[in-house]
Amino acid sequence: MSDAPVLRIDGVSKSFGTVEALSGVSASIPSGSVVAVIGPNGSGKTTLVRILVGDLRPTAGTVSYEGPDTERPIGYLPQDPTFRSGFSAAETLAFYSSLVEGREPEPLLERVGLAAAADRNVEDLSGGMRQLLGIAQATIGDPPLVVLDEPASGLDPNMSENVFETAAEMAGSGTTVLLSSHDLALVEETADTVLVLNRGGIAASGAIDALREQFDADSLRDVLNEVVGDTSRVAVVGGSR
Amino acid sequence: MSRFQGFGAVAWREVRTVVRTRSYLLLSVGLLAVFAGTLRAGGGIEGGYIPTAVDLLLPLELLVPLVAVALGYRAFGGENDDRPVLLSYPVSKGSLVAGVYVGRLIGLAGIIGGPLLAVGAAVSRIGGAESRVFATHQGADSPVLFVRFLALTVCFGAVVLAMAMAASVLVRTSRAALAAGLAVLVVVVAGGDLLAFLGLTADAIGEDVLGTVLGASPNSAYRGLVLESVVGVATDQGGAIDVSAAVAGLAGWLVVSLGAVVVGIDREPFAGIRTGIGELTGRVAGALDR
Repeated sequence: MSDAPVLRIDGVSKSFGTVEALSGVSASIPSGSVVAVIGPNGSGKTTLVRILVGDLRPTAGTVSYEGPDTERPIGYLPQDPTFRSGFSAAETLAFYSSLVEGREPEPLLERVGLAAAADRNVEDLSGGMRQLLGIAQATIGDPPLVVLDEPASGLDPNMSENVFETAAEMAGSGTTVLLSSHDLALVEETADTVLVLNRGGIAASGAIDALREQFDADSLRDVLNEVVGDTSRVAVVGGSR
Repeated sequence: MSRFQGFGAVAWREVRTVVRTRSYLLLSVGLLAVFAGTLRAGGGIEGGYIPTAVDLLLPLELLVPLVAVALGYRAFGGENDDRPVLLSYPVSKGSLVAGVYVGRLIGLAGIIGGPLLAVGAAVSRIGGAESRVFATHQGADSPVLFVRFLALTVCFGAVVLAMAMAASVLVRTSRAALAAGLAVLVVVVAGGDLLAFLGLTADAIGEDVLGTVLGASPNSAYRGLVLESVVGVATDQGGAIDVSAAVAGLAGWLVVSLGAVVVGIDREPFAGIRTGIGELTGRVAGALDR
């Protein structure tokens, strides 16, 4: 991990009509690390992720990429990745690879454990396999920052662990991984830094040990409970329209 | 980043999508069957290329928009919507829109052009003696005129395809996209003619400018151009439309629609319009469900 940030988030706010989903979010993402964004449902995780990758424009504030100059600075796995029916897993990755000077699909599929399904059409893949295909897609072109929105969604525990291990390996080889997740145990094992979102703002951030110490908590789950308070209800920010 | 980086790959993926979608192949076969039935009933095929074009003109005014809407209404929706991922690659919005459009246009040309070429081949065998020669002067039937008819038909489809794609980016859900596509179909097939007719009966449009006004309606412009530059050449029965107004009308719809796609691909512009259209099309879709 290096102190130099790969991404800087400065006072980012986002409103959808009268609903303010994010409010004054600032953070810097250190390069070569795994950064996890956690928070209850409706806390603004996906909105923040979509702003970071340029899929949404912030209402206020800026996001600046400060990593190395490259063809594809940020790789992205959306929360619900979509793939074109009628194309195999290998053809799908070959298409995305053709947009950059990317690798052949085989090593990418091998990396996420999908080599045996290379010739299977994407509509015939299970939800978990589609998620893995999405992760392989996010790493095409070796982007310095890979953003994964709920990468373990729909995966069994072993697969989830595999995804987080892959993220840790990528960080070990210099890639920065920013992921959002509800799997706090895996986040605790893998992440170097955690951003805790609550009601559209960063309620706490820092290294996991530091957060545990700050909130006198035994686990990341306890940290989240301390930060969020009542976790039995979905946070509804901005009221209703 | 090259301005057109990714264009070829995106276009080629669209072509392959069309080729691999069985329902599009069935659509093409269905068109051939409709053409065969129409020509059998009308008898145009025995008269040559021009009578064949005249027989097919009316069905094509409905079928071309139908095919274009089928190809365009979900161009950026459902499983075809990987915009957030694609835009994380060095692919500009212009390249993305151009790639999707050109790829689907090639598909449209194949779906419509294939059956029309088959009809043309049939005319060359069944048609009269005049149909077997390439005429070099006006007043004669000619395969060149049929090729012109085919080209105008594909151009008409290209315009409606752009309109359907514009509708596709303005709505988010598949149901709303279907309703928006149907709205485009109704507007193209009936809207322009109906407005011109109402304007004429209300004396808001004079007969002297009718040919120009009709140019603003895509299907009137197409019909007028076919009558003017295909049928009129051989029969000297043109004058149905102001040709420059018709060309400008089709070009205008094309440019405005593709412009709307480029701006709308950003998802956030038109947010208010999109909400309104989404609500409206949702209600239409709900009514259709009932």
